[in-house]
Amino acid sequence: MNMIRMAGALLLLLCGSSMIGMIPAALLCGRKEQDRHCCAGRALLLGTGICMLCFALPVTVACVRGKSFLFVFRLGGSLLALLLALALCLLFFIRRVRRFCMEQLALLRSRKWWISFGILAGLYASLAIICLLHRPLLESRFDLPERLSAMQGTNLMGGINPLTGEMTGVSSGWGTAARSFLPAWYLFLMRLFHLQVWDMLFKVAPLWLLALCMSAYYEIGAVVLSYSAADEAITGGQAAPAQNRRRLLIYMAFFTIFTLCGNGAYMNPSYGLLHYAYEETTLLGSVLLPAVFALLLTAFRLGRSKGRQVE
Amino acid sequence: MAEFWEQMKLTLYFMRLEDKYWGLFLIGLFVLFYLRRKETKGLLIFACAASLVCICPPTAYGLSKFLPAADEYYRLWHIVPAGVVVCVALTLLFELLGQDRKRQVLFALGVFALLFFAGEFAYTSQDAWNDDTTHLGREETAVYELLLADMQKQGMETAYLWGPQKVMADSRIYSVALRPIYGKDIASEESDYSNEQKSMYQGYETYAAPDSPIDNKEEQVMAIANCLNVFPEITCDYVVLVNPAAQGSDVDPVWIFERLGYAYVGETETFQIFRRL
Repeated sequence: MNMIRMAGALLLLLCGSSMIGMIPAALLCGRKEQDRHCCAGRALLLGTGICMLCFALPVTVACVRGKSFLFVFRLGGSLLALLLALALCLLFFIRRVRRFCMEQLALLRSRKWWISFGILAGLYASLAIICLLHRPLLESRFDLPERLSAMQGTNLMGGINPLTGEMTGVSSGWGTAARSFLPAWYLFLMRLFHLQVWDMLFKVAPLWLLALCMSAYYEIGAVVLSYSAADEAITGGQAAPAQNRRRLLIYMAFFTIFTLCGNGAYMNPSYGLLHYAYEETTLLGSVLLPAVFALLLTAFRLGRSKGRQVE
Repeated sequence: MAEFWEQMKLTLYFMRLEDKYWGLFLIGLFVLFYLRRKETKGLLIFACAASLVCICPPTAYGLSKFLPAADEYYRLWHIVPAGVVVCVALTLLFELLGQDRKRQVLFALGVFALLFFAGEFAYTSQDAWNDDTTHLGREETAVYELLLADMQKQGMETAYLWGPQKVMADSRIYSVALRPIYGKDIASEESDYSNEQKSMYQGYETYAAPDSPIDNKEEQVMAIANCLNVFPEITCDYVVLVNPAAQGSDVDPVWIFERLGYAYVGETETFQIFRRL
């Protein structure tokens, strides 16, 4: 039963966000053939960003106004449900988005894409197994499990030292909002799916963050590696998408080895990707910054290719 | 040969250090620029933008204000541009090998070997398999169960606790009803705690750790008892002690703690628990 709940939480985090992200991803994607690569990662990143921004609103209001977590749960839940419903409606009613979704689904008909998906899934699984089997260190100076536990036990958004339970006297403000955001997000999912702290932090969160991290690096690689391929395609050269796909898979394989061997990780926040996946620093170092760069580069490249079309 | 191996080990040791990212980053950029000048355009834009953001003062200020462990923010630079540059360089080098499978396999194996030995593989890292420092241990869980059962019997909603570091560190994750008198961050964030709490922590650190170099177990128990006696202003409802019998000592802590006003509650395989009367 617990496994089903965890799978449900992960499914909502990945599929729900992707569904929401499909709309901005469709608007970001250019019309040229070389831009028509698999956009699931981009949609996931965009959707997660939108969901988190939406959830940040009730958390900030609660922390600044001194409200309890119940307020966040109710308002945040309503906002996210509304967002999901809106995304579903738009997916059906906006023609460009609908066409984009159909094109993405059409990729699944191609055997080459199935092989690519298989390889990517294998790389993801190799990192996920390490994440799930690894025993996280608890005696670090990070205190998110305690904050989550304290928030769950008291329903307070701040004002409590999570390590001792002492009242700190600082219960509201922007700083509290920033520190309470991630615990509130995890607690929201825990309440929604009746999960325990351990299950959320050490099973669901690592898998979710790993998918986000790989998507971000995939998108960065897609932009960085596609420069010459795109040039060739524009000048009527080689079949750029196929070359890109092959390059991207090799790049992702090297990225997986890099991460797995602790090279992109040791002594820096991304170390957390395999060790403290649930911490804020991991979210920042391994997901947020790469994702921001990935999306900025995508937008930059889109602007560049549009400029060429005008010329 | 031995000399070469020693030199190799030394090189790998330095590659493990943080500075390797600068080296790898520069080598990656050089390889890319030399071999595939046209294709480095996008990468250079990305590397410059990423470096600029990661070294930017507003980023540093924002992170230091709102995020824990923000003093390590500069390490983001290592992962964001450096990781991508190195991986892209490897990809383009791999492509240069052409279609020769043998060379490709050899190259991939060489890269794997280099990254494996130069890195810190998750499962070879220290403490990865150590039950004493990872997850909620069986012994600690048994202690919390005993404590919570006793609290329920006494009608207590919350209780202050002092005990071995591991017991105190994980107690808040197990139940918010348990309130350790100092947190697990006392070693790094000493200024957050009072002088009495710091003294108690130092007392514990010096004497009571199971792997303490002090062999005299009686001295350990007495040191803890002394701390409790010297700082009566610190409320401590429960004391969890490493059972001297489990350490091969015949000291009787029950006798000592009863004189300090504590009652024996129970024990697990490794720990003894006392409650303030």
